[in-house]
Amino acid sequence: MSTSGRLESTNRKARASALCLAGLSALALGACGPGADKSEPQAAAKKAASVAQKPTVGPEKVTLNVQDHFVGSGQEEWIKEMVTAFEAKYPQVTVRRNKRSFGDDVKTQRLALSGGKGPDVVHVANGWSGMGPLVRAGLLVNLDKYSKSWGWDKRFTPETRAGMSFTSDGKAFGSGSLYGAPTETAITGVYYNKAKLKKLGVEYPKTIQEFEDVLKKAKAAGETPIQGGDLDKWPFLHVAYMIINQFEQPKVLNDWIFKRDGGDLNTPGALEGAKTLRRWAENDYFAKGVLGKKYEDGIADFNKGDGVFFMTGSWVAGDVDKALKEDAGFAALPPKEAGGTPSTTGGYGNPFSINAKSKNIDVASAWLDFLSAPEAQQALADSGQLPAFTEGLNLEEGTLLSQVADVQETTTKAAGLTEYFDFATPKMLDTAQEGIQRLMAGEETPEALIESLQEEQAAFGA
Amino acid sequence: MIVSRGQRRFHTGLLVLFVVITLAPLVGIVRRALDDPGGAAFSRAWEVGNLGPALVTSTVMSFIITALAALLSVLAGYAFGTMRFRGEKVLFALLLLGLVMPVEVLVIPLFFGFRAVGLTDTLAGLVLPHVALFLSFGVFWMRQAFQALPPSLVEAAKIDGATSWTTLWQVLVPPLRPAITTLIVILFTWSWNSFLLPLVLAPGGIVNPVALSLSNFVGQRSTDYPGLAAAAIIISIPVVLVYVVLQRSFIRGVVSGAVK
Amino acid sequence: MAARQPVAYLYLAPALLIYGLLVIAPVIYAVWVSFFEWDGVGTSVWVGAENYVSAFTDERLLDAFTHALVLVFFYCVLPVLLGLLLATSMSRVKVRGLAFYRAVLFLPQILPLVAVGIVWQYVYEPNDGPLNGFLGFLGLDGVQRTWLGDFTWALPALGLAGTWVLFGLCMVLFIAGVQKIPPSLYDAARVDGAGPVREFLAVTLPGLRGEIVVAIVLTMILALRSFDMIAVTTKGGPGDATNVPAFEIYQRAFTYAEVGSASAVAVMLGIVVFLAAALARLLGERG
Repeated sequence: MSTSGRLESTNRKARASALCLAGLSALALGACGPGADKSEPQAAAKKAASVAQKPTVGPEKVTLNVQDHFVGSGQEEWIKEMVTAFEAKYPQVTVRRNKRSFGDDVKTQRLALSGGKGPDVVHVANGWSGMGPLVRAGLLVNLDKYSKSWGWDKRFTPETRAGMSFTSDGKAFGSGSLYGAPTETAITGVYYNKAKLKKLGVEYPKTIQEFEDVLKKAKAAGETPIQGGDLDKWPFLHVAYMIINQFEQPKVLNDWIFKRDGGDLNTPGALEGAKTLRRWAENDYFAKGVLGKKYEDGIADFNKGDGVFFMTGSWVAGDVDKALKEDAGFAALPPKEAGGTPSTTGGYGNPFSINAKSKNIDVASAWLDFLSAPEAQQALADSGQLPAFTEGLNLEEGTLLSQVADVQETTTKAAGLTEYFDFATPKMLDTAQEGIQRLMAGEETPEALIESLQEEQAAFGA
Repeated sequence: MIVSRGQRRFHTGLLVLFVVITLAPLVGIVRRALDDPGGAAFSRAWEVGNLGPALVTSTVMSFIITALAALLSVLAGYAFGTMRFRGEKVLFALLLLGLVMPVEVLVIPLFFGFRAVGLTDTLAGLVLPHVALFLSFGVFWMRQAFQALPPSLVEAAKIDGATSWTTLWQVLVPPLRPAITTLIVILFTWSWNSFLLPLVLAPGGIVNPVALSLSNFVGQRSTDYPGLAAAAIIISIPVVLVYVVLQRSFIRGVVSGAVK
Repeated sequence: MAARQPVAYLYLAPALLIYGLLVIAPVIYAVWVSFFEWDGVGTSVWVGAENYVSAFTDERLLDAFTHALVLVFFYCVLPVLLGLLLATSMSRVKVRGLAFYRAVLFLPQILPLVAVGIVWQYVYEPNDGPLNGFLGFLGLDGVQRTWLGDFTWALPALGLAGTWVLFGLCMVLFIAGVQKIPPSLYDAARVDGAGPVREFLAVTLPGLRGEIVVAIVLTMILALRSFDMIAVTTKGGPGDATNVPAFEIYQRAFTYAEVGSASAVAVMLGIVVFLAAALARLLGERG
């Protein structure tokens, strides 16, 4: 063989072996990708199963690391009080609180928990917005046994418990085991200015058609029918959900959110809800410049007396109460037919969960129990927030907060409470937020909005 | 240099116009901070944001980052800007990667790597990645500055038999003071306001630079805007001071001509 | 040809060491991760080029890249031009109180970006904001918009906010550069009868060539990689009218738990930015 020929074949061989090496390394790399071992999630589950029947707080000195996002709000006063009270009850425990804003907290939780050094207790976002991926990666403690021993089962209602449950493989939301314990409730509803309604000569409407008539009347009278801004993107999620709640059965919506037997949002009811929202936007029933207006400014304006209705949730009850006093009212958006099921979107607020790698799981569970016990819950109510467990609490009659609690009670009893749509998948929040903004601006049809939500839900975990 | 009064008026007018354009929007944040009567927002901001320790942390952190990054940039810029060596084009292209790749994904492997060696929630864990990332701009900037030096300067030093080290510090750096001081100001500002890296690499709340303290005012569904505005104003002050002090030391002032 | 100087490697070593460990290594890691489906903490699944294929066919993502290109005009072209104008103004004419002007004009760079967000949300506020107020005062009610809530105008509005933030940076870079232009060159130009414009074109501009290239490359990269401004104001909205690739990456990595997909988009963005920067450098260092 000539020299050049040998060179050629050597080159060819070299190329071939290089390709083989590349291929093998690709396979090898593929086999050991980044992230956890496949065996880890099962290990975490086994650990939870072997826990003591009655958890106790031992006498050893312990520092409990708690991460929460009770910042920038009245709840921070409450949580600080709770830290003091808990440390008083268990002097051997020091609670070290690390606070973060909600967005920052949720986004970095996955990373923070993935090693052994994360906090003992974390404040998670509900459903697939936060808890889901954490359960799927085996990062949270299965709280079933703790729930039994501490007696949380008696406090939770089955529907709202679903909002904090996942199957232990992290595949199904809304069933399986408990992974979080809540401290507050967050329900949506309509704040209304009683003085304005009186001026318009109407009572709080009994059907959604009547509601729309009042909107028309208010607009004609020069009032802002529905106050509120959507620059922050999330506020009008709740407006949309509330409206859809009146046109579609809660069971259908919940089945869709929890993906029970697939679930389908492409229903005439959901579509009618979307069409109604579009119609209200088209008729200018919302605040001027709504898509460019900040949520905070909407609250401020409503509290200054600009606006007949303000469609949002229980979390601003304290502010509205302080500003409008006896003029403030809260009710669910009226149903389609008079006397229909009182319906609204709501559920427990962001729960606390326990880091699966924590060395103080029992103490952490005591902290969770402490926060959901009657004394703590009463303190929360006193600070103007709606607690998770309102039974037996002393809520001042006639105050705005008690009106909010009434709505929660009636909708819960009538099985009219729907979970928040955005918990359905990790991307649902963005899909819904953007779609609703487009719908309101006329950039997208109601059909397209519902379709995009359905597509996102169907594609997830498929 | 004789400049017509007309020209001077025009330039003054231009500068005043831009000052107005710059300051007018800032009214927004001052108004917000004063929403709470009597400057209550400022004292609340100080407490809620825990600004005292945060300012100390940020000062130390930004100082070290700036000093290290500036030094390494001068050294590397010296090499790229005045010397020839094998692989210089490739190395320089690689150096631009830090400017080109989105930091949002780089921060994840950095987190895992740092956690493995126990550097998360530490000062070193914050300093080192910033220095590394700032090198892209720093070297880019200093290389161009060294390249712009008159070649006669380098030649003269060589003829004098100076080593590369003495050439650098005694001959080349003095005329580069404006470039280096500018680099220092920019890197200090960038370190001071850096948010994503501290958010991910210092999650435990042990090391808290000022940028993170701002999130103490942002709730899930409510934001304490007056507090946030007041805090933002407070934490801007140190950087303004650094800028004012440094810029005085490097601006030579108006270029004067020989017209007497 | 000048002799090769191996001592150069000594000067490069410290920078390259820290850079290699903390930038190059993560970049390689990110490229590797882009071939997997991974939520950032759990187990990962090899998917080959799937992340890239779905990225190329993702209309929303392609729109995001278009938005980033639009921002190049506002973050790069305008600030560089304004910076040149201001730096020249300040260095060629004896204006009183220069230190004050320099300090004020650099302020937007100093502000934490959250503050910039507050500032511009105030300016663009549809009902009480000064922009609409000013337009109303001029009788231009028809021009009023909801700005940050407007599907057409949100992106340019954010762009202008970015111009406001960045022109001070360019100005400072050019002021530094102007220091080294020998006064004799200006004197010579003057003797030749050059007016201020000729002076600028013949002396200042060539003298600032290096700084201009750096400024253009830097601000172009900032435009294509823009994240903070969007994150503190519109969060990509209304709809996805102001969505940009870096925000998309952030969302995928930290919200949707799709780190593999985020890495793929990051590699794509990195390539785009690298090509743009290389192009700018080529043109700058040639012409």
